[in-house]
Amino acid sequence: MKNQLSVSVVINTIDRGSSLIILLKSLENQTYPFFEVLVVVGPTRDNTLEILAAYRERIRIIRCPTANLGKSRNLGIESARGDIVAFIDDDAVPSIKWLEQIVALLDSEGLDGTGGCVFLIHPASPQVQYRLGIISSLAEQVDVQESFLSSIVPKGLSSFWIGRMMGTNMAYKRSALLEVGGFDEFFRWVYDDSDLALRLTADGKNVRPVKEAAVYHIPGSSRNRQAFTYSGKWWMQTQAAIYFAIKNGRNFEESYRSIAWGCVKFFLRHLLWDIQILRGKKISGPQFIKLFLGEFYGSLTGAGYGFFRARRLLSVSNSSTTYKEKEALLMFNKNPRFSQPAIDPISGQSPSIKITGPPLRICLLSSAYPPARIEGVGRHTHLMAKGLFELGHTVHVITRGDHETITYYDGAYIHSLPFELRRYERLRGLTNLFHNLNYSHQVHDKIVSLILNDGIEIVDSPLWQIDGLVTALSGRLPVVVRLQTAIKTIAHLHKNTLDDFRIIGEMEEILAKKARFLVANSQATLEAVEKIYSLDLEDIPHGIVSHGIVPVADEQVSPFPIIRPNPQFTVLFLGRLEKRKGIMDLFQAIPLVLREFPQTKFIIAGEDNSDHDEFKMKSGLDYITYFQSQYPECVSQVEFKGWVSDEAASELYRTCDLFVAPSLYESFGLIYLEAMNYGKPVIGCFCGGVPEVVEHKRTGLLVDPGAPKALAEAVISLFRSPGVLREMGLAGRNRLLDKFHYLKMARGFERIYREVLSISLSHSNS
Amino acid sequence: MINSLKPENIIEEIQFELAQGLIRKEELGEAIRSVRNFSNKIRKEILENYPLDGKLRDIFRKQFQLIEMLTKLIEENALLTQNLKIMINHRRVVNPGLDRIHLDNPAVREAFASTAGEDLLLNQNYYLLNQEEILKVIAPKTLKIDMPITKGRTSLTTKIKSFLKLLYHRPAFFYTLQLGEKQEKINTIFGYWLMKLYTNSQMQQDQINRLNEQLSIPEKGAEKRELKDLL
Repeated sequence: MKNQLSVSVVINTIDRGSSLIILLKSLENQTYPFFEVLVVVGPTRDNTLEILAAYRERIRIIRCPTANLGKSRNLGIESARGDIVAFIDDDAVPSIKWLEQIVALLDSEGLDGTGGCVFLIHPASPQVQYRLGIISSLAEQVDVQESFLSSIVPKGLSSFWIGRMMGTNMAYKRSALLEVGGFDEFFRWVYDDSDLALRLTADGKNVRPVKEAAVYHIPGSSRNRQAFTYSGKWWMQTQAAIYFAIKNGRNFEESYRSIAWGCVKFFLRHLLWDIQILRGKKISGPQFIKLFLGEFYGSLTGAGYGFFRARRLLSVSNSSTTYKEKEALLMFNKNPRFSQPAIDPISGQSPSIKITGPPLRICLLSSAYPPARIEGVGRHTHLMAKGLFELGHTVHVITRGDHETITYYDGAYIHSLPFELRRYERLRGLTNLFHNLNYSHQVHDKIVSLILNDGIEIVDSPLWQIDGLVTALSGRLPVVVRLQTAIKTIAHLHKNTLDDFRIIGEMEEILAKKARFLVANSQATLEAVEKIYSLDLEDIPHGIVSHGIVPVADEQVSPFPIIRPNPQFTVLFLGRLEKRKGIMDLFQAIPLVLREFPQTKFIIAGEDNSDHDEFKMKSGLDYITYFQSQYPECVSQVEFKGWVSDEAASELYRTCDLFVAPSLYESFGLIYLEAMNYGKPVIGCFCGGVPEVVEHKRTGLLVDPGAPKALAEAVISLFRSPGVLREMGLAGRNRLLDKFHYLKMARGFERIYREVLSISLSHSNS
Repeated sequence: MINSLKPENIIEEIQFELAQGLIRKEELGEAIRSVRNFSNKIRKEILENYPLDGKLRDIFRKQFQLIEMLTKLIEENALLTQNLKIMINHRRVVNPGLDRIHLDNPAVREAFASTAGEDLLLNQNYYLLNQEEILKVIAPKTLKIDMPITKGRTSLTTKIKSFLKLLYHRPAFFYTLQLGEKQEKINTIFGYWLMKLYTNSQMQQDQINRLNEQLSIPEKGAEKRELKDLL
């Protein structure tokens, strides 16, 4: 059996006890077991040492007397016992397979140093911080690239460029580090990583960063800089860069002219940046002067040290680190792998519910996701993710966005993918299909990356927009498909006969047939999809998991009061203004209700969709104008709110007396649940999955779809018996707590995922 | 075309894109262009600005010629790899004079049964699609470098100078062409063998699938087949 390489994970820390504990917890989830953890603690002023006391049996603590990153790293190298020394910042969290990938790279590819990408995942400023970066011998750098081909002819003064790793995510063979003397202790904060990479290269070693082996960074403040602000000791960067350019420029035979010009350019660039932030009013005048003087000081001292002082490197002969027989590693992870529940990388919270089996690593797909504006599928996916995290699972969500980012929100890592239309050129004529397939393929590429970095085991895709189609066809991972209203049904409702929609419908059918499991939110949805796509459900495993939502606090529940003098009823409609939502039936019912109860107030909240459902095309009017022109006598009692935020919607639910949504078709009817959450009675239609949510005559009333008179009569009957309004509201709230809790929904999905995975495992073993 | 588009066609497109791999063709093409531009830039800088004697100048010129040849080779190799990928994934072989021939054509199979590389070369039935056409189909703007030529009035002296320059470069062109022709033969053989291996593997896969069907695990309620029933 081949000897496994051992790793020493060195964490250099000062004043960041709260983020350090999160890193230590996350290291417990590493798939690679043969590693020790060394924490090199500087002259810290917070409670870092008290926090580390809890890990006394599992880590080794080394003290560094000064706030000097280079020195701190060298102390880590001196004490390391592993074949590989891996560095990670104390405000970062590694992907689950970080060490596994690093060991594989250093073991098999003849590398002496490597490191992966770094993503800033704080919701305040998510971005790709580092990927396949390069640096020149004159401190010119590019931090983010798609591939090395982008910089095959680098732009810059220097003639010598190499791939370099970022200090937050780098690893080296210990022997290589010792041979070059470790880090130059001149670098107290920055450029230590790049300088080492250049010295290793000069020594004939092979150093190359990679695209994967991801680390997630949540930038914390330090003595040198305040996170998310412009406040910092930027002169230290200038000083380090100029020292770097002089030392490495001479080492790599750059001309003195290039070195000098490189230093001047760096200084000027920093100065220009200072001027920019002053003009943008991000800093005050006195702060600018301080920065300006600091730049001069940094440049002069950097140049002086660069020319006249020798490097301060780790002396191999003086240290006890001569590579002899290894001492035994103090293994960090004594527990079996994959046994730790998920952890929130920003707050450090772990789920409080006891997990019932090994935690899963799940990928959910959803084109829209909070904090962006969401409806339907996005809302459902968010609640699934939240619930699955509470049950102990790690959740990754792939969604559409403007830029490529990873962030962490409410229990899930959210991977945003911007639109890239670089495939399926032959299908460009079918716009919707072209877009959907390109996105589906991008999702697949991301899933491949998540398998490599985060070990995801299963993908859950909505049927809608076929996000998971390419992955399902590739067979890389089992795909569970959540059923919604089929696009064929919607096309039929809107009388849309475009080829584009026809073909997407056929693709939905293929996705459904390729799924390892079909999950419907209601029996009606399952039957509808089965019928419209002629699925043979005997061949495809399937099940029903009802939607669930987060119950509001009891204080928020406000059923109809027992006694209300001079009741003026408020009726709420919340949803897109479109034919499918029954808006026309509501319009016709309003005057009938007002005839009996003229004081009734109708609130209609939701975006006008008359452009998309062709109402405007046919009538020439949007829905609001249409109502105002057809029923002018009712206008004073009807308020159109347009689109409302989640907070505003909650307030509307809380303050209404009756919720009405006469949709012609709803696969489930999440909106009724949202009203029931606040103890409100609801009126819906006998269609789709609505009867599975609303109990007729118990939690609300159901009428036939497309029957405005029946709708009006239902409203009037409830207003005539206000006591029934209260009873139905309370019954609705109890039904929600009993059957439609989001954790119950999450448990349903968890059961399905475990079943699918166990079947996949037994197939691969057989 | 749209009305005849079937789900199977879309699935083929998806599988083709899955097989394409991760490196973007656009990046490779742009990178090759950047290298060529950079080479031209430093060539100009060195040859025009530095006082070099005849022999040294010659050495530099030849070095730059070599760079140009290598860049061209990489470019052509990348194009050829694209062509081969298309052929392998779409299972098409086109002859300018004939209709499309699929690999399940007996004539095709017979041709691939030949083991002598020279025979394949001499086989006039199988040519790669013209590269220009393939590029038009997949991504016309990637590896093709447009060279706009503007007609201008040149003096007689300039024409004579150009003629002499061409004459001077003729040996380099000759050897480049020789190299290219040899490479083309090698690549063609490589391509044909890939096609042959692909055909064989398809046939084997078909056989495996047939056998699997016969030996498949029975579903619930179905009778269990004994091996003796299959014999």
